[in-house]
Amino acid sequence: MGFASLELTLIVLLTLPLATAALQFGSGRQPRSLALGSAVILTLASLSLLVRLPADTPWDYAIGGWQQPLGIHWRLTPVGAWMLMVTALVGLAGVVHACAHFVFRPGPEGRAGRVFMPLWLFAWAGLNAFFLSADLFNLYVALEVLTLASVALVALTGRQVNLQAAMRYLLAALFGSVVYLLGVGLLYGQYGLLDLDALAAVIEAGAPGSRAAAVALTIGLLSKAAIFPLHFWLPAAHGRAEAPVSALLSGLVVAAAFYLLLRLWTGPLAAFWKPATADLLGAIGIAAMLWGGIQALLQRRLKMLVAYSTVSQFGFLMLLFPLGSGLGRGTASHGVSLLLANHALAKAALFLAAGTLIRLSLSDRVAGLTGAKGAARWSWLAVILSGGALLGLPPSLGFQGKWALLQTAVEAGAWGWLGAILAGTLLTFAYLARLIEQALLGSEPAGGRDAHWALLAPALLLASIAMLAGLLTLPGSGGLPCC
Amino acid sequence: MLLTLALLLPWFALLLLWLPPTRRLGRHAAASAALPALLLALLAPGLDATVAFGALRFGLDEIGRSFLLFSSLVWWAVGLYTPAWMAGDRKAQRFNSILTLTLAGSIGLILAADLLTFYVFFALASLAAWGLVLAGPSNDATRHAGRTYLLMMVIAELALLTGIAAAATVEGLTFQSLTPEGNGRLALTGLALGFAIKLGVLGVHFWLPPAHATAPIPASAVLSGVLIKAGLLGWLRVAPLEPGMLDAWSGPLSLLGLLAALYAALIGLLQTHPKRVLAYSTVSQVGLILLALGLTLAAEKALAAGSVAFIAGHHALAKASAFLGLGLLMTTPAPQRMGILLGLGAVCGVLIGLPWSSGAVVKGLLTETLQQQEGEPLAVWLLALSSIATTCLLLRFLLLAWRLPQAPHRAVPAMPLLAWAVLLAVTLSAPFWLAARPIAASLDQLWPAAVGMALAGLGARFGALPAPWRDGYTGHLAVALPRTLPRTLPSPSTLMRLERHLLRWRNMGRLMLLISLALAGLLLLEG
Repeated sequence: MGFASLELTLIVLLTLPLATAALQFGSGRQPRSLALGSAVILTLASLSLLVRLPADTPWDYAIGGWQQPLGIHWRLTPVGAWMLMVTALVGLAGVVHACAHFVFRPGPEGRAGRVFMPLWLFAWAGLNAFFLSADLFNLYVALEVLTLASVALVALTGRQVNLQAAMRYLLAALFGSVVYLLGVGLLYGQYGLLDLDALAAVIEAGAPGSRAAAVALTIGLLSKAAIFPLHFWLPAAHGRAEAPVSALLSGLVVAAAFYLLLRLWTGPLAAFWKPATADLLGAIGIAAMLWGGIQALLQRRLKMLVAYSTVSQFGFLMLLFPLGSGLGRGTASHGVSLLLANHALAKAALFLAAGTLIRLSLSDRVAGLTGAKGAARWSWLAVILSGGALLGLPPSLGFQGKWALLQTAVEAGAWGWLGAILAGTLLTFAYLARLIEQALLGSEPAGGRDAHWALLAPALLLASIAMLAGLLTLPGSGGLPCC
Repeated sequence: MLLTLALLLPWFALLLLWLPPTRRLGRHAAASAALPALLLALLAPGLDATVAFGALRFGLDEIGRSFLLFSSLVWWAVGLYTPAWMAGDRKAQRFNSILTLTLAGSIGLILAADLLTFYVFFALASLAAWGLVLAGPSNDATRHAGRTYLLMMVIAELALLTGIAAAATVEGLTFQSLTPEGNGRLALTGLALGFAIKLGVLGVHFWLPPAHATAPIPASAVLSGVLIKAGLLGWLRVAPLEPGMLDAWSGPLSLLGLLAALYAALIGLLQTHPKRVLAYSTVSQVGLILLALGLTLAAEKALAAGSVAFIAGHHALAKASAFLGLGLLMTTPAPQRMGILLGLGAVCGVLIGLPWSSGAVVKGLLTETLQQQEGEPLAVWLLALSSIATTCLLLRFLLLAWRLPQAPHRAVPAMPLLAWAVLLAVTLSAPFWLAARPIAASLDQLWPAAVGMALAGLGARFGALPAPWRDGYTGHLAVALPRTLPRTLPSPSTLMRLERHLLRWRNMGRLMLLISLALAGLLLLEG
């Protein structure tokens, strides 16, 4: 009985968003209620999955009872369950925010809103499938679904700049996917296996085909995760899209690509994780972190600042490789997963709050933002909380993640990488401080003092969760360090 | 029970302040949010009992109790002072929230029972205080002061974080005696740097004068009085317990302290606004604290940690009284100004070290201890010189305060006056009830003050500030840093042009090819 309902939950997680989205595309009626209903059910499903996690994870589920190699296997791990929960939280927040953000009228003005909901649900379905998949090809399919939905979301409003950004994003993402697929093909050709765990058992460092595959897989995913210098598509796409769209993109889509990178390197490609390679990847990360941070400091527009902050944060996450090349691999991976979840929640909150602030200030420039007056207070509070989570201030999830990385660095005596962690944090402080100054020194809101609660609450909720999550002793995530 | 209440009341008050229906109640709650902490410090039930919220641990021990006593006194006085002082100001609500948040952090860090909890609340207090610094008038000076403050605080945080991470690899996160070996050395260095910046030690002090001068009066009182001492408390907690472990540092530290005491007082003489004078006086007094810390590190444990806490408490009460009194002076109509000025004079007397004041106790303690050290006539002389300078400094403060332009006439608000009077009374009577021996000073002790007063008299009669410093002297670093830092980086337009180049397809392609080749090459080499 217990397992049957677990299977049902998994099926619901995938089929419900797909069905609802298809229905909405077809009928176009009641976009808000349908989407809200699905979002709530999906969140509850993810929560129940987390709560009823089977003791002997990872737990495999063969869809339709068909075994491999023909059937599709899903694998449920604690990390996967947590990422599903984070996806659900961001998804729900985005739907609620969109209900007030977009105009839902029949006719051309309401088109953006009508189209947003099904696309959002498609992306959600892709993410759910992604976090449950366990073999290379399924992961590719899930990523493609996610990418296509995201591209459409970027182009939502149909403006010239959005279309250009979406086109660039599409080409970059497809290019990354093709290179990734090349890697998958090489591995399949050599070993005849696609399952991650099975591959991890048989891949050895010596075979040339495997090496080429490793390069292809990594480059493809680096492109999708917008790691400098392959970040060229991100600023325009995230900076110009609508606020809920940017929240999803920066929070989850880029994170999915990086998450896959993490899974691949701790799984099949673990044999290649040697010092010099790791140092190269770490150096790329430092470059990304510094470049993203400096560009963020230079940006005058709020959403571009936040977009470059994403570039910087993912560069920071690349420090996983040098820090994990020795004995600290487990701690470093654990820390980076925490940082991924933290970033997803905090960045989504930041973008949603940014959208509301822009609406209240009638200006998208940082210098023109309103101060913390009226309804803007709540948005600024969300900005401050999510900024604190991104900085890794206790008791946020970001602190736990950063703590794990710091411990690894100190124990390994890796002083250079330790300095890199500190430099990255300093840069993050710099551009966030420039933003938060406006809360105290800004002027009266030009767009009115009131805003619908749905524009204020989701961002605040996500930011609070990111900031306060460390206070609970969470099962499977290790809690705060001293316990 | 009282411990939990002391910790939670500020948060509760904050919640009430933010929700519109309970705003009024929130204001009252915020004003007395420090009261449980004060009661806790006075009554001190169940010393060494600990309370845990999840991974955060709190408790009260002797050192914590002394810090809690003077801190909660200052916070309580400020809490009563602020509402009436900021009445009619549109930013009052926001200021109140930030003040309450800082209070929560301050009490949390004093009551923290392990290193991690200490860090959590230290970070909270420092960052919330940034909001206090930015609460001044909305101009460039405020923004600049805020940025300098934040930069130094962030560096302090990162140093602390590194120190704590290193400490965790050695033995865990309790307030243990870290030994200066291996990772313990890194831990002590990081922690020492972080605490030094927070305390305002000479060399990394340049954030202090602008921040304390531009912040509103209640904020300055709290910044100078209580928040700086967080750095001191942190060091007292983690310093190696075995005497003599760091004794190589004892001499340099004491010397630095004496130099700071003298130098900061001299620079303070070149200021034109009384708040800046008080800020430099803080740096100077921190020098004395540093001297005391140096003496605690000496091989024979010349001074106990409790004495250092006493010095900190003396300064906290006196400085907070000075700031709050200055605020009253700035807003009082003429007839009552004399009374407030007399009160300020009494506070200055305490800081100078006139007889029967806590300042005299401090000076006596330091002089005696220094005389017992081997061959330290230089140190005693430096101490005397710094006393002279401090006397001049504080007399200049009184002069500048008297000369401040008067605010439009309005009656002295009752609550701030009452709060200030209570604080003043406590400050003046500190030696009697803080279980220290009140000193009727001998001629030996009084001569620096006398010389200082004579010099001050001469200066007031004949002197004027030299031409380049007529508008007050601003420290080198505070001015030079924001000017030179941007010049070392490529200009913003260059950086943005570079980014546009990177965003082009063909450049992306080239870079991708480059990285692929590098990666493949490395895999080949290592595989």
